[in-house]
Amino acid sequence: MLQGPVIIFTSFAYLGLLFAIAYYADQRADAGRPIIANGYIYSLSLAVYATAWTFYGSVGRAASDGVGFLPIYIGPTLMIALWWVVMRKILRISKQNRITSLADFIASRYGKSALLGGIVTVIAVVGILPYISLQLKAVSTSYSILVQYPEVVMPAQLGAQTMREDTALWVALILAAFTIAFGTRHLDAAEHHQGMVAAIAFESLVKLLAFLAVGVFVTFGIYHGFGDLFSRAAAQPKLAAMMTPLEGGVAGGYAGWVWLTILSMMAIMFLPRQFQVAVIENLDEKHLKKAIWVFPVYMLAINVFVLPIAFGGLLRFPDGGVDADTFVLTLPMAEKQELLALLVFIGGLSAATGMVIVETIALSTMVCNDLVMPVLLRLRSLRLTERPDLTQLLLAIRRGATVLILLLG
Amino acid sequence: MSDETRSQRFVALCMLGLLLFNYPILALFNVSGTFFGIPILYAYIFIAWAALIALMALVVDRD
Repeated sequence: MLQGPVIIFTSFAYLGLLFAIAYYADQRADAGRPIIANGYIYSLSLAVYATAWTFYGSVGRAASDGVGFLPIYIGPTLMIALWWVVMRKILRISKQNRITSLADFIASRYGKSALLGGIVTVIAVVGILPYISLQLKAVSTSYSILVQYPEVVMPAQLGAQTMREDTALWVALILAAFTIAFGTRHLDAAEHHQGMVAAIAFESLVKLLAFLAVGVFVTFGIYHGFGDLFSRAAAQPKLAAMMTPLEGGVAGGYAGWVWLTILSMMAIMFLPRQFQVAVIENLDEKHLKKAIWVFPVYMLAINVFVLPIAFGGLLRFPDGGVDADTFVLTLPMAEKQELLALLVFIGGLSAATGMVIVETIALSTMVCNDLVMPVLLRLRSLRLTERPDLTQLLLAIRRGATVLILLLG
Repeated sequence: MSDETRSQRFVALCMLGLLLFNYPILALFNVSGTFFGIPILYAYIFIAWAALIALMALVVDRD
């Protein structure tokens, strides 16, 4: 059943649904009756933090160093404990100063320094590009594995390099269309993109449900609960060692753990996409009250089954022929669960596209407001300061930046 | 609860979290053995994490 056309049709149907949700939310926003104005949607949109790297990569990491990946989600939980103090302040400053991006925010803290804003923009774009391309690659890799169903073959063994690159290119182009449609549809002084936020919140729900479905299937379908799974793993010396990973230095020991915690505390505040959803898209400070516990609960929930899936995968494919980064997808495939495998693919697609869309909107806003416009306004020969309406120019710059960022990725 | 008190409690929770997920407390649980069938370290991390989130939900004011 799972041939290429079926997978592609399902993916398009899913993206179409996203378009519909975003369109509906935008309509409601224009009508002054927003659907995203509640703390739960705000919390779900924050969960854009969980990318394809979370969806597929956590298991891969857990399969080599046990709990070593958890600081990536515990760190943000600790930071969010400070949100009552810190984030409220950032929200107030940003609303007062009409902050439109992270670069804008940092520049405004240093007396509206245009140079600083430009530097932050360049660093952000250069730093984030590889991250975007990783997401696109995750989509094309998971596609090329899924299309082999019922065989479980790693893409490296296929040598089908050209096809994979094609898929990534197509994904990039479709996402560019989506981002332009809902990220740069019109200019809004407050830079709210309600349609986009609604779609992202929906994607967060899908990726969580897909991951939980695999987790429940592996833990209770293939094995008989956590106890059974862990005791089988403990029977193997190599896997048993992963249950106490902090002493042996497998996961970088305690220092590595603490370092990753601190790094992740910074990430939740200063990744451009997190700043975009947490600060720029925030409609009401009150939504923080929900997000302070709902978002950490989300992160906990999406991690509960990571270790069971990792151990399940290591037990199921003991010879190491299957990349641990793909266990989430390959375990259901090996057990002949077509629909579950398809759901996983859509979940991974959600995780990847959500990240790419928000990151691209955040970056293109920065490129436009903090890089291109300051330069254009300084070029006197263009006489831009005398033009009454710059809307079309601004939109064109953003759309150009969007396409460029995605194609570079 | 005044805004000031609430802020202080959140800062205290963050400190508590930094303590719970750090050496030496982590080392106490980095031992072999299971707790209801789940390896002790995993069980500790998830229980402590859930408890921390529950406390955060209690401190935030709900209206």
